Amino acid sequence: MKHHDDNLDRLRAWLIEDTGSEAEAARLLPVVERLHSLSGLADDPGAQTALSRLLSRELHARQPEPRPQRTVICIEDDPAMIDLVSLSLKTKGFEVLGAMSGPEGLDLISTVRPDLVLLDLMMPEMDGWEVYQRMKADEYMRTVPVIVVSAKAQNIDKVFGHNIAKVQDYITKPYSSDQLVNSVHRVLGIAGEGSS
Amino acid sequence: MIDEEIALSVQQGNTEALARLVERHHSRLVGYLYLMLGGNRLQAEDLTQEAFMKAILAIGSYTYPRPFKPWLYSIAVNLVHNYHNRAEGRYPTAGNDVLDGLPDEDDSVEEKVAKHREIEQMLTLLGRLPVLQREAVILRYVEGLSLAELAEVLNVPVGTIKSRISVGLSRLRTLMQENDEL
Repeated sequence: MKHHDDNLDRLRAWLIEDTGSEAEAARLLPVVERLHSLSGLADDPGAQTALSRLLSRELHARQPEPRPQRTVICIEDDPAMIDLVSLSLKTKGFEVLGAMSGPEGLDLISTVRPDLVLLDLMMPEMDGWEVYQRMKADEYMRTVPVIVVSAKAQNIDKVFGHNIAKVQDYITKPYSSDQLVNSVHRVLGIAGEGSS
Repeated sequence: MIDEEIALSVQQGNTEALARLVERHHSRLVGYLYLMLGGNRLQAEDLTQEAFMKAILAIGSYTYPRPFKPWLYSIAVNLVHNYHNRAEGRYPTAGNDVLDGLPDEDDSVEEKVAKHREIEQMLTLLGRLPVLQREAVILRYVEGLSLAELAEVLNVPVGTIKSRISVGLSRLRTLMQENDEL
């Protein structure tokens, strides 16, 4: 009985909201009571299960094939920058490994064989140009694509000179997450993916 | 978990979440389409399936946290409009296929017959309302959507919704009175 009364109160409140008049709500209440009695028309639970299966197949078919995870090595003496790169690329499905010096980076590249190297130009112990040259001199590492990261565009020209053309891409600090992701996608030939 | 979170999960390919969405909305959607189509049960189930299929195909365009229920119902409403625009979409005036399940199992035969008759009568009366008024009163007073949800589903201002409901209910009242006098 209470449930019925609650229902009536709710219907009356809706009517007042819809018509803006208590008198009109009272006039139309019997109509909406009859209408409301039509709610909850049951259907066939078997149809529901069959539909779920059909839709699941459709949903499954529309999911892209899982791509093997690609590894990026970030050679950079600033740990905060490595964290930032990691944050940007992990959300796009990359595994990011950091190396805080040139020698450490070369060790990691020869061990892991990454899909891509992000190479900071200005590092104290061994600068990016030297790391790049050693990579290209090594039969195992020479085919790994490199994106050079520099604080200023002119540093790249100064250090790499004519060799800049051999670098797959370069970006200058400060760069946005979108710029980084776009560059990585471009170098790895990953098309049709949003970068935001 | 709310609908919007489930929809987000479906967007990421979770088929279990999809089954939950179907479980939550399938029955109501069949009921709504059944009333909109004058008691054509098979057509209501077909259009429900089509609505869900369209929702899955468009799930990539769903933007969380947009309310999911109005989003789903807007697909169903468009399907009904298209159906009525086609030749076979004429609202039937007889031969309604009354859905099973509304009467309680404990009801006597007489009670079941009375409930079925009431559904048939209501289907006939609803069929005499213009589609825009019919969908507004059904979505509001059978499906229980709020005015804001209705405005989103039907893509018209709240004032227009109120007007359609008010005119639709008044007309339904007149039709009920005429029917009772017969």
